Amino acid sequence: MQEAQWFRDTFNAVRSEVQKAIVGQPDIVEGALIGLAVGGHVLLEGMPGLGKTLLVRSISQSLNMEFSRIQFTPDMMPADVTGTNVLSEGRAFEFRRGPIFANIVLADEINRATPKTQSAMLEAMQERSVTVGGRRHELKEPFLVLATQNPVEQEGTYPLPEAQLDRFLFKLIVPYPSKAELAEVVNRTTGEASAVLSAVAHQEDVLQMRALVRQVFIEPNVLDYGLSLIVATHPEGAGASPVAKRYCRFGASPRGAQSLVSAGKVYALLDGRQRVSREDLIKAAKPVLRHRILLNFEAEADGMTADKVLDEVAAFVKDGDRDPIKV
Amino acid sequence: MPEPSPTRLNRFAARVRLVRSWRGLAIGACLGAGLSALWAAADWLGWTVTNWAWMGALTAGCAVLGAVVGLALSVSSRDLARSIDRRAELKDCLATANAFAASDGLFAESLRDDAKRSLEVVNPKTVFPFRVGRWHGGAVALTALAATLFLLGNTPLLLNDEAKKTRDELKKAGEKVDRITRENLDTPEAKAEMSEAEKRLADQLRKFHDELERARMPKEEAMQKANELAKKAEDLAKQKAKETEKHLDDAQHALDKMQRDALAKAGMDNVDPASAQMPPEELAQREQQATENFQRSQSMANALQMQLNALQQKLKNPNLTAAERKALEEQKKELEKKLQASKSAAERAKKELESLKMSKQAQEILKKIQNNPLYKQLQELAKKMQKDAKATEDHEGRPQMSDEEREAMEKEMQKMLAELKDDAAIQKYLEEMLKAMQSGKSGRRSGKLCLNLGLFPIPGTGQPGNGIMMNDIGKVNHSDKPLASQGKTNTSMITGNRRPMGEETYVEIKAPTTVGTRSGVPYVKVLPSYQKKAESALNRQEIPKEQEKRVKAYFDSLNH
Repeated sequence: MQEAQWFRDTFNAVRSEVQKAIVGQPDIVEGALIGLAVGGHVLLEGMPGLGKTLLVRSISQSLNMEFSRIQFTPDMMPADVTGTNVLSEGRAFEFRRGPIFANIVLADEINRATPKTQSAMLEAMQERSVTVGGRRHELKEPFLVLATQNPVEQEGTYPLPEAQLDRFLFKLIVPYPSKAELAEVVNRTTGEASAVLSAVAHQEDVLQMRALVRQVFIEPNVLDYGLSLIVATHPEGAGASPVAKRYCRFGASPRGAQSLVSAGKVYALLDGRQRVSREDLIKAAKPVLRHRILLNFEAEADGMTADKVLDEVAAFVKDGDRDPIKV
Repeated sequence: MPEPSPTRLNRFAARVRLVRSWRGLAIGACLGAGLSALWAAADWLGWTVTNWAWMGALTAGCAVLGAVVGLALSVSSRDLARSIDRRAELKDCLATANAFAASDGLFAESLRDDAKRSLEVVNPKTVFPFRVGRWHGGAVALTALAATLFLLGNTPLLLNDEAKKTRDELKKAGEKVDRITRENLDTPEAKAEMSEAEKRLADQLRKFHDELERARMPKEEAMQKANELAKKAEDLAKQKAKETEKHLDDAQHALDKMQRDALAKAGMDNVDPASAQMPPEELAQREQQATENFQRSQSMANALQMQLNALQQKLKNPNLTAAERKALEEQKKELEKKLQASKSAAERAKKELESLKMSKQAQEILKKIQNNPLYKQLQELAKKMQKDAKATEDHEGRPQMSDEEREAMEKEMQKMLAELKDDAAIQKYLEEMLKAMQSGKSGRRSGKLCLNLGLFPIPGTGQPGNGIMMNDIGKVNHSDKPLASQGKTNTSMITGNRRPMGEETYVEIKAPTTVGTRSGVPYVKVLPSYQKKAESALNRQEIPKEQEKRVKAYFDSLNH
């Protein structure tokens, strides 16, 4: 119980600290921190200037962890991300680490990089290591990639392949701030002093948080509910929802199920529980699954978005989940 | 980790059973009411018969069954925990604690504490309240539907005048059947004595009464059923009458044996009890005749003997010629033959005389038995029963004795049976008489039913007897002759002038006869002879053609 409380306190402390710099966007902050607590990468999608980079920097400052930023461009090479072997003064090759070797990596506008560079990121995100010159280099732990992409200006971009998207735990849509939030942003950034963040947690704390998340219980029936959510997105599956049959080309992968449960566990802990509930899974469904389902042309034609599809999928699964005692 | 507060979950389980029982009650009632509605619809269509009590019993029975099933169904703790979680919005607290009851993970203890705390604040009554749901609504609606269908099927409001009239007639007939059944078969005495066949008949009559009471069957069918039941009653009455006759025969045999035994005791084994019971006048006459026969035969024998002696003297004469001797020899032979016959006749007459004398003595012996007033009474009873049985078989005649007389006689015989238990012959006789009496009673009961149900019309009235009267029957049961000829003559009045010898005004009323008392002869039996007489009268007398036609039409109407 104490551990759960510590988790919640630590999480909230980091969140509060980040919120000193970030105005509004509580879900985005929470999502990014959940990715940290679970060990899953987060894809942030939003217009430029919404504070994505600031968010990542603030998180790293609050956690006293190493931070690096990679601004992806089409001419960027994999070595620019992973690092490269250089000839040292001693006439020997020496591996010079790239920006990926940090605890928190901001992959800014990741969709502007070529597939080759993106695939270098792929290995780093999944394997938490990079291989250069036939030699494998382990990345630091905790390792978290927070990638951003711009939903507009698609010309000259390389949309992330499904395999790479699947590596992200969450895809968070960064909304525009409200007028009040905007005023606060302006006041904070054009005033005399800007917020100074201090580290409220450390690398070890993050690792301990990850260990605690794994201890959270999930009842078989709740797990079945979560799996039903996944299966309901499969257009060809036995448990497919009507909306998936109509609008989905591909459904969520098994990795989606893992991510759903993991995120659900964090939501449970944040709610002061040591068990996952259906509500946690529903809450996690959109950020976990919205980038994992591939919509067909009909969906685009009908103006269906992944979020809308997921809403209907959740409603479908909820309808099928009946009270076992009918009285 | 143990399951979260099992005792607390038990409280919930008990509550679930109760609420399930409440729901089961509604489901059962729904089902029962649905079946009742179908039943009522079938009743309306005339396919079957029902009433309020049966429909109510069906609905209530199904409801109780549903409630019992609801109460008996087991509740799994897993399902219970999940259901409480959902209803009390415990966010899968109990279900998780239940699933990981044996876990010793980091959060296991706090999971259990959490479940306990949650259960403490949850009230079973709040979580599983008694609700009036769709099933309850359905049960009420279906009950209303069943009641409506039943009412619509039985209300006279939707009927036309003719149908209402028919319904009234059927109801009246139903009352009559009820009265007949109650009077004849529902008395305690009848119930105690009824045979299986009578019980079956009683059941059929009650069912028929129910059907008539509901007045939903066509008149023709009612009539046909009445006839069928009357036929059964008739068969039963006949059967019982035959049994009565058989028992009376057996009783008579027993009586004969008793008398033979009495004679044998007096050393008169050879005396026929029938001759012993001969009237004294006939006995004296026969004695005189026998004496005369004896004397005549005796004197004839004496005369013949004398003639024979004289002839023998003649034959002793040596001077006789061969031819003379031969003629005398032949004469002698002839005389000897005649003598022998006379002697035999005398002997027979003598024996008869002796027998008649012995009969006299036997009469003295039997007189003692026959002078017993009870013997006379029993003989009288046997005769009456014989007549009753015959009358039952032929459907004619009045009962030879009242029920009270029968009862008194039966008691008397029962008493004698007890008193004379050592006399096997008397026992046998009385037992057979009692059996005959029982059969006779049963036969009378069935006979009454038969008459009252109207299978046999009362002669001359043109109506079924005391039985079920229905006007304007329309169709009759042609399978049964007596019914086919029941009187249906319409009342009509004809006025005119007759002119055999001058004019005479007359009024002729043609109608079923209403005068006269009950006759034992079915009118169908006498109708042909009456018709014949009428036809011959028509032929003999000068009667206008118009009138001839009228007479013919009258008889035709009776025959059809």
